[in-house]
Amino acid sequence: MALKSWHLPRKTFLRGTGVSLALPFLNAMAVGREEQALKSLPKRSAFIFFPNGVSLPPERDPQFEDWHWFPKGEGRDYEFRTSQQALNPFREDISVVSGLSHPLNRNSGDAHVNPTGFLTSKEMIKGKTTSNSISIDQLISNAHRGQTQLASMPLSTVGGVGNISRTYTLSFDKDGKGIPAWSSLKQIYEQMYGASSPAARARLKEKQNLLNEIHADARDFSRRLGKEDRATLDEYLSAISDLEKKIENDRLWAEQGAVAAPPEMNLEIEFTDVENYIRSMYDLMYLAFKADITRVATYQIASEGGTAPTNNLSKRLGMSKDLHQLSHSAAKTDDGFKDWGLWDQFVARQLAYFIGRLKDTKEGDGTMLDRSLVFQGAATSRVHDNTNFPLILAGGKQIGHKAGQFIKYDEQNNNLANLFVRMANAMDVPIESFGDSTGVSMSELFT
Amino acid sequence: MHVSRPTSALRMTFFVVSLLLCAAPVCTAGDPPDTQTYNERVRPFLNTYCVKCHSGEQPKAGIGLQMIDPDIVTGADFDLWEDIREAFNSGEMPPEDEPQPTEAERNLMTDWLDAEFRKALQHGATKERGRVRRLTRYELQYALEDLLQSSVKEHVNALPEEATSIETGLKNNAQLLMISGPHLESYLNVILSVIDELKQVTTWTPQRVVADIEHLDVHPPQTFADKGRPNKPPVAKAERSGKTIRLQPGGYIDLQIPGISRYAFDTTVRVKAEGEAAVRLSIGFQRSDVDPRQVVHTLATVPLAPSPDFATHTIQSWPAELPTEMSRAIDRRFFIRVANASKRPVVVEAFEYLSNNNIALTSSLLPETIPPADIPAHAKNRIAEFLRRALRRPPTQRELHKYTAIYQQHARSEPPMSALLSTYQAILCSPGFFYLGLPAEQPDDTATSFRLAERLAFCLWCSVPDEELLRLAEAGTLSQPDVLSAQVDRMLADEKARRFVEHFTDQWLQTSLLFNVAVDRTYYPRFRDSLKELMRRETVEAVNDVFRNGATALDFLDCDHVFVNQTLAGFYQLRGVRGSEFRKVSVTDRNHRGGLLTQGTFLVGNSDGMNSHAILRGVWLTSILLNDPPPDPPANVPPLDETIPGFEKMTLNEKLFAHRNNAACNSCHRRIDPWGIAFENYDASGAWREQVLVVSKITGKRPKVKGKKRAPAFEKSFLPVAREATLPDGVAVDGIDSLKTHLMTARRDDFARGLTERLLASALSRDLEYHDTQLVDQLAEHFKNSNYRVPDLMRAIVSSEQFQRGY
Repeated sequence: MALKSWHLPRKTFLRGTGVSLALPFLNAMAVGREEQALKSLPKRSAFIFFPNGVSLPPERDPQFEDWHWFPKGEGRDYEFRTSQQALNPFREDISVVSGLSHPLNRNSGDAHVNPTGFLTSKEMIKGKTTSNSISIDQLISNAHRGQTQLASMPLSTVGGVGNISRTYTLSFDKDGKGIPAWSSLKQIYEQMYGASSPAARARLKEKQNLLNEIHADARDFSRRLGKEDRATLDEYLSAISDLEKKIENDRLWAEQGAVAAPPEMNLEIEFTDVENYIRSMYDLMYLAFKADITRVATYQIASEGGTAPTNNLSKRLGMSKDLHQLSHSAAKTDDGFKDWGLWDQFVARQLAYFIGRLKDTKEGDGTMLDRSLVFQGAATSRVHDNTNFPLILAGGKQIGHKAGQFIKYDEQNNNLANLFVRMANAMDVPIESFGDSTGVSMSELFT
Repeated sequence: MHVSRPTSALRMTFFVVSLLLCAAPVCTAGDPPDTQTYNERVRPFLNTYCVKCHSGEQPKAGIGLQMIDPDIVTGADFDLWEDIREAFNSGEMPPEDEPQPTEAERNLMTDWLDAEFRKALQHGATKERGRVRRLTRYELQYALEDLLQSSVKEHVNALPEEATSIETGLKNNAQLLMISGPHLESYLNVILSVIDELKQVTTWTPQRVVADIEHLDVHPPQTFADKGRPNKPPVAKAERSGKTIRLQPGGYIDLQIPGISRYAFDTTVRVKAEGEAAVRLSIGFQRSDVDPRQVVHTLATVPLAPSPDFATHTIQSWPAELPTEMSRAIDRRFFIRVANASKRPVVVEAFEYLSNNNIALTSSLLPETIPPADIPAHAKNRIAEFLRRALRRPPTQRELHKYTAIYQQHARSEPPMSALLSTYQAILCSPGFFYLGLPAEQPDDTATSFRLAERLAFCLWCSVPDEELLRLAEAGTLSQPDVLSAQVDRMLADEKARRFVEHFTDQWLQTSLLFNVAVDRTYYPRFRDSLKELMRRETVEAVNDVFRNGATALDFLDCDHVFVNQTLAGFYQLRGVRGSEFRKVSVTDRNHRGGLLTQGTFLVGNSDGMNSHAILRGVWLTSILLNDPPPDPPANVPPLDETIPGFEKMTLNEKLFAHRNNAACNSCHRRIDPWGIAFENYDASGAWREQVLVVSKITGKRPKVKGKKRAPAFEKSFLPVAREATLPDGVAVDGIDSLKTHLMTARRDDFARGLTERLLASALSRDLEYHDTQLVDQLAEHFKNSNYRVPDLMRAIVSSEQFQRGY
């Protein structure tokens, strides 16, 4: 193939007003500059959450051998037990981590507020805490704002934000406000592929006009509001300025034309069709990563607690108990841990599906998985225990993750926020601390 | 074992406070905190008796006294001081086995605490606080619907749901109604898509289909029930007599219509009946050309009074209200059906259908009679009127100019109606519409009056004020006590008050619990998921009766009637209720129904779908109805001790008993479980039972059952109902009847106070605080004296200073 005129350094033709863009990596650009091209490959991260912890029968229990969530062995010599078998093909791409949690949340007063702090590590006290702090995915996303059409994809099965003691989103913005998660497949698809249609562009223009009006109104607003309503005003102003930035970004991307041809997909699936729905969510994350529509995604598979609309996912799959019951009755019934393990098994199968899609896709010198960090976990280990989160970190071999091990951390001296710092570093965000991190380097997990 | 869910009643400690209020000397606002006494005498006291346990890195009960802020009035540790005061005054602290303070020392501590709390009360009551909040999702929906006369529910559903207050369970809490970039964007998207749709709608021409009564087929094709069995044909149930059709009971006629309407559609019948009768109007379609089954959805049932003359009835419906399978069946042939839903004959003279009925919309925008030359002036007037309603106040000159200019700009490239809608769009996106309680540019009495009209409307209608409220605000008479009182009555009588009733019911009683429970059909084959919506409806109707029809609120605790339709009555085993409409039905003791506590909403919502759940029921009852939430479960609670011999075989009650006997759990569970045990006669599906069904897995070899390929994996057995319990206050109850009696006699005021607080919090859009105690006392007293009539309470709430000033 001959060199064409668009064979240019990536950013020279993509300068907008104040926002710079980066298109998906184009193989043609690599001719003669492989090294540089590999460096410019996008790095992605996905944060996945499931509720209520995992099956952890005590060692004396006969179900321990098969249904304990954590693998046998340690270090490079580890072996998945029954429920995590689906991940076996990706053994060398995965680290299983035990002993990490968010110590600040141990006195939360209600274990079901833990998911709210899952990606933030902020101390949550039931009935007292009214706001969160920024979540790690948003910190990463903010650092790379403008590089992709969507800054991040906050997904959850329930959708919306929920409330502080029952969150329906994993992502929290810089002020600690929940970012409404997307749950409708159609809506997500629309966000991914609909941005450059003439209708969408007209709408963008309309929104920009409206926003100009609103901005003028807001100034008027600020003259009238007394000091006791100052917080309301500040919040409104910052929402406006965030949206202005986002719309400007959307506009620049819309001008570039479609990022990728929209694939055929069944978008009518509701979460009640559990497995197909979860896989479709993973499909959309995969597609968004692949076309470089976004580089950061979060997905809450189900929300925690007995009153969540997703609590009966397990029953919809034909299991005998709902999710909350699975966790509470594990120790009380004959095959309780096994029953719970079957749900763990289901979760692992879905994760394996996602990892598999990333690994099956060639990119640069290897696969997409090599530069993607897929983090999955829960905010409790077993019933309402804010210790020893069951965590899996997959992919990212080319960006410093030393995969292929089961690492047992000592609970006293380590916490999960340290891992978040290293993940952010791998995503080119040079932070030294996050939340309650303690500066431990975790060199066994990251180079 | 413990239960976690957002506890929802207020955590104020009233008993001490009310005592104090009677004896309190008047103190003026702004008294500074007395830290001198603290430093000289209180601190040494704390050091002697408390600090030993309440200090260090992990102080007991989370109360650390070394760093505590001694300023109770404005300081940061008010909540902590409240806990300390309660523990101290109730004698709980210092613990019995620790050194006790002398009488004099006790008095010193009490006096200082009382004085400081009194100052805090005064300080809180006079403190200015924010009163601006954004609309909730449902308020936005109703406001748009009232302003645009269109159904917008589907659009609004795209917005994230609001957070609920942990204290009250309410969704209109000003502090929790946040906004962020993504939220603002979805809000703009909603407004844009609503207006887009309306622009399209205005271009449509309504289509009228009139039944040719003289030639209409009075023998419509046979219909089929869901399983393919033919229904009895309506032969001879509809007969033509001259220019009318006579419908016998059960008879119906169909009118073929072209597809489903995309906007409002009207069904009009001209009918008469000699006796009390009713016609049911419905819309339906045949599944496919080869599948003769019909999908039919009732639009409305119209009661007919006996009359020799024909009367015209028009029902307006919206496609968004139809089941989704209907709005998706775009290629099917639809019909409108009028059926006799009574036991007496009905005579039909005319029958017609109007689809895409945008007449109300287009004429409200631009009546056809306006000559083109007058359109700009007309548009200017429309914009002024729309601004007044949308902003809930007269627009300023600047606003008028601004939006007229926006109109003119759009009118250059769009037809007038569309340009007008674009202008509405700009108004609806502005903060003036989106935020409630915005101060006026010139704060004067009229401005205050308009804000009051706005608060009233959003409180009782969840929407914008109507013309009458705005007029009264303009005249400056709205805040006059008699006018205000009359307006509350008018507003409660208006159908729009039902929105308030529904949302308040859902938030107060947590009806959503019901929909999160999957009732196990292995246990309860009679239960259908469709019953849940009926159960919720039962609860809403009961609340409606109290809130709007003026029944006493004590009906919630116990009463001699229920609200059911045929299906729900069937499930509750009540006889003689026919038809799908909900109605008030008398019950006796034998029926075991009456009051909120015997409704499926509560019984099913607080079960696990298999077994009744005494803990969940107990928590709900104490925290929501009795205004006395149990403390939150501690973190890392020990699970039930499964090492007890025979644990697997224990009934739930026995397990609970074992759990209560564990010292770590006892202090909480003895306050919770007994309340729930009294409900043991109701199973997890909400039905009455005389024995408890236990379904257990068959372990080991399964017994063969003749004629069945696979032996059943479960066996069912029965245990007696154990429903005796001793309530925390020492009263013994045996089942639901004695519990209800106890609630009615000993706890009615706790209940009434809880409801008072909840309604006040809803009206003020915030959690209640310590300084609201006095107001709550007065309102609760007023509520009691009115024999617990909610309309009376609402009148008192809106007359309160707090409501009038808006925070």
